[in-house]
Amino acid sequence: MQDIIEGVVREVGKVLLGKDRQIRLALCALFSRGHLLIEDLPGMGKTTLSHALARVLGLDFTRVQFTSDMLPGDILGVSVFDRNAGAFSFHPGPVFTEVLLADEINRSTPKTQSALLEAMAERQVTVEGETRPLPADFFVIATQNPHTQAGTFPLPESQLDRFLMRIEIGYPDQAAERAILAGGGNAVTVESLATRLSREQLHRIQHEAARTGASAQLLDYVQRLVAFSRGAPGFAQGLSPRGALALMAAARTWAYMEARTHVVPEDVQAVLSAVTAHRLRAAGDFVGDGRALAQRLLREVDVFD
Amino acid sequence: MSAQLPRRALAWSLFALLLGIGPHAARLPAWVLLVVAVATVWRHRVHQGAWSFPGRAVRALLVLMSFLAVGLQWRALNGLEPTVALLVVAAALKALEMRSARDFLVIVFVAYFLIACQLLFEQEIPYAAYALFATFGVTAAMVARHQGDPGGGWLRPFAIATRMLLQAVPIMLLLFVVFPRIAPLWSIPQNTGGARTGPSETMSPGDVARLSASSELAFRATFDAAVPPARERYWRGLVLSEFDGRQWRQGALSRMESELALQGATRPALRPTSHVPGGAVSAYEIILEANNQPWLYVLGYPLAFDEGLRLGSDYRLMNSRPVVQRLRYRVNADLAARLEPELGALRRQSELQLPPGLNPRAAALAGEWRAAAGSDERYIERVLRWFHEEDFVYTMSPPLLGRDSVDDFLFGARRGFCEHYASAFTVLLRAAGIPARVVVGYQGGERNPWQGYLLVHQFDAHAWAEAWLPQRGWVRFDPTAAVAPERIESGVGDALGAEFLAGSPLAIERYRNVRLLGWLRMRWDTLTYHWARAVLNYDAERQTALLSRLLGAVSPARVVALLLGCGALALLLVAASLFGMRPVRRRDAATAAYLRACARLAAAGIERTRGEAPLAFAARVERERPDLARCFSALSRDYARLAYGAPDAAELQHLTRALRSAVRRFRPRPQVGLAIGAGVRRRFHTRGTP
Repeated sequence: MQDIIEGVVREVGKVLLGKDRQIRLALCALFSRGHLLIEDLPGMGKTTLSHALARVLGLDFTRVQFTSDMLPGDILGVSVFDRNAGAFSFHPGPVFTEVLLADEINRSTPKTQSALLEAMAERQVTVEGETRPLPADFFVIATQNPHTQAGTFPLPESQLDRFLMRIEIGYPDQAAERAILAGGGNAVTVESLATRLSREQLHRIQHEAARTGASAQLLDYVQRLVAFSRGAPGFAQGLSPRGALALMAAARTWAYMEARTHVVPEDVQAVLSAVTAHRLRAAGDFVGDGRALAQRLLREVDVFD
Repeated sequence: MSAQLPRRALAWSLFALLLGIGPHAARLPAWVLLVVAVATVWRHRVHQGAWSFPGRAVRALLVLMSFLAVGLQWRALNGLEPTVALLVVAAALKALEMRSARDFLVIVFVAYFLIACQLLFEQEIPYAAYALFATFGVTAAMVARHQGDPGGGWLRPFAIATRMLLQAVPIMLLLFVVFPRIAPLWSIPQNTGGARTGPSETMSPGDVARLSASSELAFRATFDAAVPPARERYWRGLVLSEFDGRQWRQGALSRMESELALQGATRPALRPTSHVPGGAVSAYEIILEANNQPWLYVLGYPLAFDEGLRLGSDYRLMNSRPVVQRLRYRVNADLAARLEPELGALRRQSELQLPPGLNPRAAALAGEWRAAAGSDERYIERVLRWFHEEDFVYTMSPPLLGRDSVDDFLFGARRGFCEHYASAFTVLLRAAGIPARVVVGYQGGERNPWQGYLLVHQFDAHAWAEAWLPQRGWVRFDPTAAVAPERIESGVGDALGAEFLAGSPLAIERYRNVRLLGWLRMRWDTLTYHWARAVLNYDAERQTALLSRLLGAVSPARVVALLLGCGALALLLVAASLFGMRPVRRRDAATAAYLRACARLAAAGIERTRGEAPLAFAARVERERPDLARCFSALSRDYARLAYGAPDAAELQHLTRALRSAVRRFRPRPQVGLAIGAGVRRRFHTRGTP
């Protein structure tokens, strides 16, 4: 099964050169049945990554480009009066899909952002009093620009919390950059990528990854991490139980992807920054955002007590 | 105003000020308290925004008026009480204009100072306890001012202050023991105005009875050996030889000696003419309560006593100044000595003095009986028997007597207290030609059952007589014992019955027969006794004694060593408690073994960082020290399997054993000359490449 996962990583890697780690983290989020937020500057390959993921996993996907004049109905769908039937009929919105690519999610107003909230948390949509379920494999892969950019609405914390991971892509290294530049017209396009994972295989991976073992000593370590984030100076808010659960789920999947039957601290550390950075807030006097705090967790919490 | 006072700090500072003023309230005139109340309320209203701060003119006027008022009240601005009053008024006015952090500090420090001032007046346990409590309160005001986070309710500053000060208690005790007891650099004006109870220089009918209405403590006495029985415990204070028909006072010689003593005459104490040793020597220590009078109380003839005390020719002991603070003195006394075996003609004449023309009936009776008796002893016996057999009554409320007071008493009222009997008895003896005098002091005393010391109260005040007999010298006779023997045997409480302390229904001594109250009273007194002995009387002399017992000899080096030692001990205790608060680390054998291996690696120059997990660390070791990689990587893998995998029982045992033996064999050596080696290698390498 790990070979298949390696194949997926390689396939996506064809369009996103030199970003194996980010691809693995993104896959880890999807295998953990969590939503993914990709944050970076424009032009770093956010959309490419999300497109490629959806294609390679062989899932239906819809792409929604978020704008500031977008309304919740534009995502969830509307009821329209059908003159022939003499009744209202529901026209499902783009949310009714398996992979929803929410491009530049922070360009829309908070009202529209929160329309996604129910869909993400409960995998169902309530429109005009009627609750409609979404497909079983419903993922949101959202991309956003750092909200210091002009014309953005920062995501509310409640919504940020619903993303299992937030990852950054970052600039490519020299070799990858060279390959991109040299590629010219020969570059592989997202459309040419092959599906590498069947639906059954995906379900199996999700199922088995969630069952990766975690020893008491490992849970001790995770608890120390969580306790540190709640008690140490510099942290305005610690990790919630949901955050701790997300950390464990991602660590289990990571261990599974590394072909381990049990989680080791390295797995926790591998996903820690992606899982916790967007959930942590620095307290007043301390400079530094969630990433710096996550680094502190890695550096200052002892693996052994 | 850069720093606006927080609400809680303001409230606490006003409260602290009131805490400081509180114990002085009883000493201050009502108008001072009024000023305090008005200032406090005013400042509170200012804070509420209802009133405004007083203007410059108003404040100047208030200050001027306060000075005037204090000056008018005491006719002086120096002296203890006016100074305290001035301080209190000034503090109240300062509180009124308290705006900034600086004003706040002034108020707080004045409050501390007022608390300390209180100890100039009273040092008893309740006052000391209050001072301690008030110190906590004032410190709480400081905490309230500086507490950044105003959470936690109004009492939170007090809780913090309590915690802080409790930590300082060991230091307080240590400093109490070792801090040098320096003699006062300037003399504090004592409160001479305060009337203190105790026998006065003269004795008129009713004086001792008035004293007996008080349940205040006169002194405590501790005997080195056995305590003499109650009927022998006549504490001599004053000897009165001059009688003017109504009032007894000291003889001319005694008065002169008193004055000399008070003037601080440096020549040796005036020695009494002579005495014949009796052999019954007893040593005791007396802690005399302040009574504002110079004479001391002794039992028997003082053979040896503390320096600075003087012995008079009438065998009484005097201090060189009025006792305004509790005084401790030791006496070695001969309880059976014969006093003044030879009485010169001049002395004899002065001890026979009677006011001419007064008390004719007593004089006639004395002459008649003396002639019939034949000897002085038999005559005295007859007089005492007469007192005993006739209908004399021992009472605290005798009727008033006329000009011939002794005649009126002996042949009319026949109701009197000890001073009546002592006076009448002495007059009868002198009229019969026997030298006699009145002695005033205390008789009896109550024993503390736990500590064995004697408590002598004001109600134990007594007056008796001494008669001079050839060869025997001055012999004590107590006519009161003839009238009311229970007074001598079991104390004035039993002798008087319902009359005892009738004026003070709250005095606990009145209920001495209620067992629980008696127990409580004695327990409390034991505590007070220890307080007085160990704390209040801890002076330079005792300090030296204690320190030399602790250190062998008192030298600066040793005292510093004691201070440092105690400080180090305190720090150690703090450290121990800090370590004690950390949860005990319990590691399984595998983790312990793995961490041992890590420690050896650290010694060899490659250290695991806090957040480095076993496998990641093994990878780093592999990179940095390839020579150690094989051994350590296997070990780390085993450990990761043990700690994070789920090995079954057999595998667990096998892995644990393997890990332990691997760790035992794992002896990494530091890579000597690593940096040089690397540098050399690099240089060769660069040279090799074209």
